[in-house]
Order: sequence, then structure tokens, then C-alpha cells
Amino acid sequence: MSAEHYDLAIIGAGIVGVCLAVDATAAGMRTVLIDANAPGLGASAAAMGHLVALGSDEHELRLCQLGQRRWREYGDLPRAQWSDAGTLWIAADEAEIAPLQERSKQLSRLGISSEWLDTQALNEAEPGLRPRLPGALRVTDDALIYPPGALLDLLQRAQQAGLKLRSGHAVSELRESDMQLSDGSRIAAGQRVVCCGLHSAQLLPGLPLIPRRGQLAITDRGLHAPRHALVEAGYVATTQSGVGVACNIQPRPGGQLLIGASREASSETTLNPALLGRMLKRAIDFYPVLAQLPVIRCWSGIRPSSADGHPFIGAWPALKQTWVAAGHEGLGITTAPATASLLMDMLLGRTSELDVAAYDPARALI
Amino acid sequence: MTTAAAMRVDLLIVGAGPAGLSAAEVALAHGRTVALVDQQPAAGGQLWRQGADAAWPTSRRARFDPVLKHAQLRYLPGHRLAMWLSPTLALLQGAEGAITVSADRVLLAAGAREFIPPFPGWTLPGVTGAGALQAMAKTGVDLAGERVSLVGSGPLLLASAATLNQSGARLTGIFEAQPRAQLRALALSLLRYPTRLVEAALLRRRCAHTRYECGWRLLAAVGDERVEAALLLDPRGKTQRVACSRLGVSYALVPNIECAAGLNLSLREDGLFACLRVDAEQRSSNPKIYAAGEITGIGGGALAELEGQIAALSMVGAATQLAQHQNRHRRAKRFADLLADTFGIQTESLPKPVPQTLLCRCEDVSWSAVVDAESSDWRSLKLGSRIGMGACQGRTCGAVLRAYGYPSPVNSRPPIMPVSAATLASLDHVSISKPQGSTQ
Amino acid sequence: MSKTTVKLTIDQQVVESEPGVSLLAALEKLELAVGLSPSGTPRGAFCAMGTCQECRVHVDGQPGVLACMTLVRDGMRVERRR
Repeated sequence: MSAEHYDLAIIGAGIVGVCLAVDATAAGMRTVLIDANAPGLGASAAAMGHLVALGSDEHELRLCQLGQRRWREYGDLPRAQWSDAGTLWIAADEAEIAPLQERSKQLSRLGISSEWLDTQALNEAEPGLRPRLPGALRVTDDALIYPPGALLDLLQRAQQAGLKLRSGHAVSELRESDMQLSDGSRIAAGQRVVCCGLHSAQLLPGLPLIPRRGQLAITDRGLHAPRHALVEAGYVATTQSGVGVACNIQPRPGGQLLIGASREASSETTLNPALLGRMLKRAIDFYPVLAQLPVIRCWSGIRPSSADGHPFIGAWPALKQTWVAAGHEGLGITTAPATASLLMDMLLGRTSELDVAAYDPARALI
Repeated sequence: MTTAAAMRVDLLIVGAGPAGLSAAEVALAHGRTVALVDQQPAAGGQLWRQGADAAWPTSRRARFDPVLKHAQLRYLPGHRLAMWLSPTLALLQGAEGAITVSADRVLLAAGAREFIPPFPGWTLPGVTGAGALQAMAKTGVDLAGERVSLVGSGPLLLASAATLNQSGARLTGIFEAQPRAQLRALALSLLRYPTRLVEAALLRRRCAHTRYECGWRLLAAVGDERVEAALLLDPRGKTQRVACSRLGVSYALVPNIECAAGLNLSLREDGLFACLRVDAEQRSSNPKIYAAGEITGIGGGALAELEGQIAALSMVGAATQLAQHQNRHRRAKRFADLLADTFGIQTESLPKPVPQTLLCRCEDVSWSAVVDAESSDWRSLKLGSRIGMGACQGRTCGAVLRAYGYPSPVNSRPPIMPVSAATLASLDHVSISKPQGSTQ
Repeated sequence: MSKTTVKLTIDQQVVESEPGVSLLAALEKLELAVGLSPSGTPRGAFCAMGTCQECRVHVDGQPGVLACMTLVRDGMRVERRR
């Protein structure tokens, strides 16, 4: 049986793969998108959809910024339920004020505006928050989307531009010349991008992805909802290592509240009741009226992460014409279009507007 | 506040209907401590519903009032099941807050709900289940003088009509989907079950003046701000308009297996739906968990009562009584099977899906989302269209999808019923380790 | 023994009800739509047995209370979803 031939094979129809498919088909590349399941059922289905300017260093921040810019450039994505809610980074105590002001300067250096709300201004902006919080940093250009909806809209766009979708068949073997799918068929492509989240390590042995489980809960509509995404300042520290919870409350268009965030070392999509309890307790601490809101669903998702907190985006040294894009931790949705841009630069041999050395997969290989 | 009170009993019973009450009665008689949990404000479930306009007969009160007031029984009405922390440890929510109940054994007796398939106009105010109308009449809704039509299939239509006639409603008709020949065959078979024959005759007498049609199909409910009429297809294929201010629809009963979410219990098919699989002693696939009543297969109140008793007798090890009840169960089951054969509804008899008709009431998603879906993968369908992502947690639309042959796995994630964030927050202090003194 | 009526407020309107009836019955008596579709059209009771969630109302500030599963109580403050 002869192999199908494409310019580009994208392995993994999560948000990264789909954003890349949009760019590749727009650039006229004959592209196939492959997934073991239906598209978007991995981490992309569990994610919160907070398009946030966040980073422990400038590399991450720039990646987020590029991602946010490109998300806006997509134009109308009807199922994405876009909301220009903005983020409030909330100081839990006085000690968190100075780091937030430092972050404000860091954002400002990149041209991202933010403003400080003191106790009174914060109370006026969000009456549902517990009173007498020291204040919060408002970042107005952050937005909220519904990731599964956005993914389906983008996928449709790529398919209309000629993308071939092969869903329901995993890649069982990735060879120099071609790849084999679980149904026995073979696909050959000039270039291959592996972006199937945690499973990327199965196809690319040695890729050091670390699973970090996160839990979420969604409520029914109440009488009030916050206007912004409410994230505590301490959230950033929890993204770096270990087990932890942080207040992260997002208003959804219908008035429901989406609540996170937790992190722990696990690759099972089951729930950890004690940690779920801690997470909700933390959220209630900041937003007391949440206590009586009915929760209608809880779920978990696995963030593929890396030891240094940067994703792997770049050439895979062990296989020719093979690239990887995985390990985005909690910023997968935000940075997906930026990841797609960087990959297109690499595929077409262009210089990126960002410094891609920080994402080089070779950095982590012994 | 966000700390859960803890309770420890021998037997935790979920559901205070005929099965749950009967099991409690037996367990208490054998010296066990019991927690009886129920969502409703009064005991009785659907089949023995109590309400402002429906009191228990004296015999039932004499039997079960002492059960509910028994010193060894904690009766928890108005409580919701949040999640199972282990097969014998449940997190519940009541008016006073979160509670954990730890038990040696569990009995799931959460009964069944009505199956109401979508049809044009089904979201009009005034369109309800047929059993729903009966429940409303019993709990104080004034239906006197209202014109009521009942459509669908099954003995529930007659039972509901009897209650509604008593409450002063004007029944414009019962429109049964099964053909008349089927019903005649049932009437003849009833000769083998004298008690049932008497019951049926009494029921028929309470509906003597009610128009009863067979082989009629529901097309739509019509009306401006609320229902004004039902459109039906008679057996000759002619469309009939029946004026009504209330339309009660019921085609089947759906076992409430959602209360077992997270327990990984074996299921089996029961008509169009799934129920919990149990052995001859009402044990589920987990030996610590029993199940009784409609949740193990639709069979009516008498069967549910027997099954509750069998489960409790098995639990306490009363071998002789257990064998006697199992014999009675075998006989009662034959009648239940006869009803199931008569009224067992096929998908073809249900209203035809119309693309614009709403399928998911909670999220306003129509049939077209399923019919036009890009993928047949259920998770994909849910995420893209938001079917099943609303407050009813997929119970209403999930039953519909199942009945029409679409995949619809039961949601296994907590909470089992919507509970407050405070209730789930109490989990941070709940110990899920095995209680001391347990044998396994 | 005389039957006392129960006084409750529904959407800030004081209402008298027979004791022991469901909150759904009290709402039906006033011919008030008990629920709301996501797009804002009125919905009535549907299952009357705690499954469909159409009859969610706020009782004494608590959201998500099912009118069909709740009995009226003197002094109860009920608000329907808007």
C-alpha cells in the first residue's frame, strides 16, 4: 500500500495543532491533521480559556503577548464566546502589593498596560470580592474564550482551506521516511510536527514532559457574577512547582462561574477530593458569595509541563524534518497561535520575531 | 460553614420510596442503625408520594411513621448526594450544610424518573410529565377545572388520570401509543393475577368517563404563551387537535442510576435505558452495595417493596425470611414483566426528531446539533454544542439521546446532584481512609 | 385545629399560601412562570420530581433551590431567576 503524501503532517489536533493547521493551509501547504481521537479532547477540552499576559520571565510574556495579538487577529470565531473581561490580579495581603507593582512595570516594558486599584476602587469594580483586600492590578487587554468552541471554529476554517483531517487513528510509528497509523495506513510528509500534548513523549522518546493535573469546577448561574477574571497574585508561584491551589475565578457568558486552580503531579484525569476542597475553599475565601452557588460539574485536565517552565518548540534532533511543540503548562490556549507562528517560521526557514532559543527542545536532552 | 459533620451507620439508604422504606423497616427490626437519605421533603418517593393533597393510607402510616421516628434511624429529607468518597462513604448536602455518612453497607433505592421525549412545543409552560402532573396535584397545585390531556404509554397514564380526576381536573383524554390489540391482550392476561385485576378494575373505574385512545401518536404542543392544545395523529393517520391547558407526557420510566456515579457498578439494559445489575439478593457488582426498586429495572411499587426487604434481609443474614421473600418476588416479577412486554416502548413509537426542536432544555441546544454533528464522538458533541452541560447534568437530554440510539454515557464526575461550592469545599478536611473497625 | 396560612414573599410581593404545599404550588397559584430558558423565555414546571432543574429559584438568598422539592415556610423569601 502506498503512503499518502503531504507537505506537512501535524500530529495532535489540540489547540496548538489546529492553530498551526490554520496557518499552514493559509500558506498553501498540503496539510494533514492526525489525532487518535476526535479533535480537541485532550488538555484543550479541560482548559479555562484565559488569554492572559503571564510569565515568570520575558520569554513567556512575549509568547503570551504574541498569542493574544494573534487571537484577536483571527476575527469572528462564533463558538469561542469571546469576552474582553480583563484580569484582576488580587493581592491577598500587603506583602503582595510590591511584587504586583513590579509586574506592572514588567508588563509596561512590553507595552501591556495595567492599572492599580486600591481597596475602595477594587470594591467598586468587584463588589463580590471579600472586603478590605489591599488592592489589585487590572490588566484590561486579557480576554476569556471557550476553548473547545474556538478549536472547532478554527478547525472548520482550516478544513475549508483544504486541511485533511484523519481522526480516530493514532500514529503508531514515526519513521524517517514516513509514519504509520494504527489502521495500518502510511502517511509521508515533507515536514512533521508533533504536538499531541503528553503523548508527544511516546513518539519522541526522551522528551521530558512532566504531567501536572489541574482541577476545575463550574457553577450554575447566580444573582451576580464578577466582571473580570479574578486571579490571586500568588497564582504565579503555584505554576512553578509542587502541589498547590490558587484562587482563579472566571465569569462565563451565561453567568456561570468557572473555578480553578490546582496543581499536582499526576497524569490521571480523576479527581483529588481533598485538593478540590482546598481549591474551592481558597476561591470562597476571596469571593464569599461563591460558597452558596451550586456547582454542577467538576473535572480535571493534565497540563504537559517542563522542568524550566518553558515549552518545547523547535526541531527534534533525533529525527529529520520533525518538529515538536509541547509542554506549555497552563498557557497552552493563550500561546497556541504564537506557537503556530514560531513553527511556521521554522518550517519556512524564516527568522522569528521572538527569541526561540529558549524553547529549543535540545536544551533538555542529555 | 465549610466543615462536614460526620455520621456513622450500619446501613445507608439512598431514596425513601417503597424500596428504601421497606429496607429500613427490616434493618431496624434486626437492630441495625440506618441513615435514610432523600431529596424530597417527605418520604414515599414517586409511588407512595405524600403531599398537601395526598396522605398515606392509615395502614402505611401505621407501618412507616414508626420507622421514620425510630431512634436508630436518621431520616435525612431534603438532602442531596454530592459524591461517593468510597463505596461506603458519601458526601451529602442538607439545609444545615455538608454531611459525610459512613456505613458498612449501602442500599441504592433512588427509583426512576419519567421519560419525556422532545416534540415541537415541549418547552411551552403547561407541558409536563404525566407523573409530574400527578405529583403536582398531590403537592398542592390546584388543577380544578383545568383541561388535561395525557399522552404517551404505560400504566402511569391511568394512575395519573385517576389522581387528576379526583383533584377536579377535566381530563380531555388519555392517548396511549400502544395499539388497542396490545392492551386487550394485557386485559386477558390480567385474569391470571386476581389482585392486579382488582387494582386495574378500580383504576379503570376512577377513569370510567375519561376518553382512552390507543395507537395515537404525539405530533406537537401548540399555544402562544402556554400550551393550548395537543396535536396528535390517530391510527387512521388523521391529525387531531385536542384542546388542553395542561399536557402530561410520559412514554417510559428511566432508572435513576446517576446516584451510582463513580462507583463503577455493572449495568444492564432495561427497555430503552440502563439499570443497575443485581443478583438474587439485590447485591450489585460491589458486594457492599445493594440496590432495590426501579433503579434495578422498572417493576412497580409492590416489586420495589419486596426488593427493599430482600436487600435488608440479605444484609442481616435472615436466611429463611429471605427465601420466602425471594419466592414472592419471583411471582411478582412475572406480572411486572407482563406490563413491560405490553407497554415497552420502541424508538419508532416516539415523536420523530425535528431539527429545530430543542433537545437540551438547559442549554437551548436543538436536535440539529446532533443530526448535523461533525463527529459522532459523544465528548466532541458535548463540548461543541454544550448538550448535557447544564443544570440537569444531562439527565433530561441524556435519556433522550439514549432512547433514540445515540451514545450517551452516564456522567461519572461529581457532583452527582448540584451542591454548593461550600459543600465541596468541606472535602479538604474529609478523611477518606477506611473507618476503624470495618471488616474489609 | 385551625389551618393557619403561610406568608412568604415572591419577587418582593407578599403572598399567602396554604401550609404544607410545595413552593411550586404557590408559584403556580400566582400563575408565575417558574423558570427561564437560557435565552430568557419563560418556562413552566416540567418534571416536578427534582430532575429537570427548570424550577430553580432563590430562597432566602440561596440560589438553585428547586421549587418542586421545597415546601412553603412562613417568612420564606423567594426570588425567581431573571
